[in-house]
Amino acid sequence: MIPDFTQTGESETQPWQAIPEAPAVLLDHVSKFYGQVVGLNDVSLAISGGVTGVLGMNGAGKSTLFKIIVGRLKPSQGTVRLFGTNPFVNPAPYHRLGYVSESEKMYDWMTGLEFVSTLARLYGMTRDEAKSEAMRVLTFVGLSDVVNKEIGKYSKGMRQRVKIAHALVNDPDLIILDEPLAGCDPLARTTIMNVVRELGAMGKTIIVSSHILQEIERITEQIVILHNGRLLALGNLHAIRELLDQIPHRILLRTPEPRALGEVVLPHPDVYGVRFPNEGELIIETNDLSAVHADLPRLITESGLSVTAIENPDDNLESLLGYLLEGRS
Amino acid sequence: MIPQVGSDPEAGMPQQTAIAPRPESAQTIAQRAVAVVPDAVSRPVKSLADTVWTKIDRKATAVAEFTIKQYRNRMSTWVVAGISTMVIMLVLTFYVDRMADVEPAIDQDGDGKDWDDDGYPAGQEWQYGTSDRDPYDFPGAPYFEFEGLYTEYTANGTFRGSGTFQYSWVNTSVPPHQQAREWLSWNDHVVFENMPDCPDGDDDWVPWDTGSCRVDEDEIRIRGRTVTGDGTFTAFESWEQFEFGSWVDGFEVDPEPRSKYIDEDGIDWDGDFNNPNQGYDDDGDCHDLPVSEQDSNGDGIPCNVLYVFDNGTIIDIRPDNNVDEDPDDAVFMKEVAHRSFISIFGRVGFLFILGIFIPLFLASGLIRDEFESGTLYYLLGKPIARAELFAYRLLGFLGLAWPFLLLLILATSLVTGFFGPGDSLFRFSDIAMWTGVAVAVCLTVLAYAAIFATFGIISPRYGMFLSLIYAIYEFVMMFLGLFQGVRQSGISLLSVSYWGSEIVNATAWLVWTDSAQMSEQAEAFGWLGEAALGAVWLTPFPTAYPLVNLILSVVMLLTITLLFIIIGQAFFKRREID
Repeated sequence: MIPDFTQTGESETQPWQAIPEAPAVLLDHVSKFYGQVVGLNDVSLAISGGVTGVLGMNGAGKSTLFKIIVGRLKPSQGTVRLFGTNPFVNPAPYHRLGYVSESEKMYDWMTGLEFVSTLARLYGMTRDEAKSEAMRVLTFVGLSDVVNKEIGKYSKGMRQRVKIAHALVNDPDLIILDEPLAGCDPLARTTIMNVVRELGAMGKTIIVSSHILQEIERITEQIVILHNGRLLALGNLHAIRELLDQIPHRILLRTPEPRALGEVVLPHPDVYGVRFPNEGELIIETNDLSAVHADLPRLITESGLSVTAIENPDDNLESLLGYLLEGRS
Repeated sequence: MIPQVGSDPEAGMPQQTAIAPRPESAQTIAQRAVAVVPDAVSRPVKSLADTVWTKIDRKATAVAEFTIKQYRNRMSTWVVAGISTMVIMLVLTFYVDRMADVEPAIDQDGDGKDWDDDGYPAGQEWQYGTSDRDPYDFPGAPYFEFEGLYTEYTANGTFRGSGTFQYSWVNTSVPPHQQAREWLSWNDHVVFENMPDCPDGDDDWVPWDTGSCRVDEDEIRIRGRTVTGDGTFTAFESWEQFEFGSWVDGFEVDPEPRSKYIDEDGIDWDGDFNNPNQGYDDDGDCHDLPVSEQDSNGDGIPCNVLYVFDNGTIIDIRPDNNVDEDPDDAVFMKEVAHRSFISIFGRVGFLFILGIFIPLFLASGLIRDEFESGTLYYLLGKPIARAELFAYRLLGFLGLAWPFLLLLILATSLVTGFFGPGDSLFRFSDIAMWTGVAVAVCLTVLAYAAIFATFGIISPRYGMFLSLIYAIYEFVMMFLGLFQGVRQSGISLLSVSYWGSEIVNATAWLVWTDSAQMSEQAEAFGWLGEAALGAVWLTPFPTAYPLVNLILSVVMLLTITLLFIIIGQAFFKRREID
């Protein structure tokens, strides 16, 4: 059954009415083609509430998805609804939207305060309202002491935070952040992640994209995985992780005596194989990652062998995608 | 249907264990997604109904203000403004220089000349009836009044000719100007001082150089001279008669300055287009003519100027001889130069040069530059329609361009007002004309801005190229529009520049109603300036009524603007902002 899109009535041409029952974001079989290149392939998705992470490799279609959601791009096929309204035609729902694009481009000649307050006035705020709102959001993202500095003199993290501030100035219900952590130093990452978590705690609907699994992990558990323009998976990250634990997994140990250590771990019931890829390296192959990890410290201590590092080479987006794609084929 | 939010408050975080590689339908996803955080949507939402249609003014000022600030931070704005100001100032320097020049007054009827070098201009000599070719015939000069011809005569009077004069009294005082002369003539009195004695024997010989000699104490001989006294004058031969008459003494007449006879008979025109009988013989030199010559234009009125009208316009001017024949051409020429300057500078300087270049360099990028720099979505990702944004950006451009251009026009009008010809300190009469120029410039700039900005939207990559080609087209149209034939053919109507220039032209017709008359007069009284006046105004077109054309031009320019805004926003609306 096709979703009841007519719930918006004539509102695409009429002054926009809030449609309380409409999800914040709704995509129905949306595809986007750039000539021969497929940007987005038959994506159906609805998001309302919570923090959602959109995961995908570079070029997976994250930015295309966002641009379609916010009405920058027109879908080649399918239907997009932002709060029940077609965003490409009607800019009214932007009133409830805050969008941080991946673009680095800003008005470098403006000060942070000017940038945020000027754009705030486009929501219909008065000059004074805009200024006080801008100060509020700039303080929220921790930039209150540099508001009168020109954006051109800001660091990357500060620029990113000004962009986030500008997206928050209208007190939006839906916040879309496209790669907010890209290119930021660790301190800025932490600040931005805290901001996003705080916003999530405030009950906003947040969609944030990244190509780094660990980043998303620190922000949210609810994820959408995109691959080659397709919606690959959707759900709770823990659930996905648990599934991952059930599949063949590898643990990399660095030790001066890999063969001796291999003999120690091989008897473990969940370990079904060991390999020695390089000098001083041992790879344990297992079906139950957690069980092995639980016993591994004890086994190493008992053996008295020295181990310099324990790594999970599969604990990244590529492996996740690899598994998911395998599962589908 | 998507489930009513809040219908299941206990829903909480649902168990999401399943991975859905391929969602069955959007609806199920929507159900799930909505269920994730049910209270997100149930919160009271802001009233959005009034966001689009109200607060428009706030958004407009915000965008316009932002646009102006953006211009202020661009080098190109200052370069364009600087060059424009310099060009205007340069042209104004030429204008002031031209107006400060003392125009050499032209003496059309030649009565300011002193042909015979006697110190009296011809005009003054004519009034006194003296000859303008004889240096001894001048106003107030003594003269001989003829009475009769004799061979021998005795009387108290003046004798003129050749013979012997025996006198009891003689006037030895000689008018000073006659003494300095090298060649004496009949008109000249004999000089008594150092008069040589006549040689003995030869009874009628007189030295050539003096024309006179002494015979005795009371007798002199003269040849071809004049003498005044009481006595008997006897001609040398009986056939050689002499003149007798009386000598009228001279009186003092101050020579008038030559300038009094230059530009002394101005054009007298009462401004009545129904009165063919115009003109006044200010210097009276028509009335000095024989009556038969006083009505050379044959209208039955002596010493006037016949104006021939056709439907309220002067088509011919026929002056009688010596009427209004020496007007103040310097005033005329300056007035012509002044009017030509305002009209041509208003049209070419402001309308074409600044009117095209300022929008070309500043308005082409109104939307395009934001496209190119990737910052457009900051403006578009707001509850504001694209057409609105386009219009407000234009507003921002106008907020910068209009005050700037009006300032330049004001400066120019002040300079031409103070330095322009006329007796008053300031030419208030030009204010209406400059207002016309200002209106024309503002509307033209608006139309060009809409056109160039639309080109920028239609093709961000080739927009500037399109705009340049269009600007060249407008230049060609402007150039062709200067030719009467092309204007009348209607080809020029297809350009913005035409309508702008027609506002200036129509204003010139409405404000300077005497320009046609000046033009006709220039032709009738035969001086230059007619050509320059031709540039002041062109025949009104497309209608014959300046006021209609003025209104039509304003409407046309606004229509063109609106048309291009509609085209521009139509393209803009369909544009994806990548």
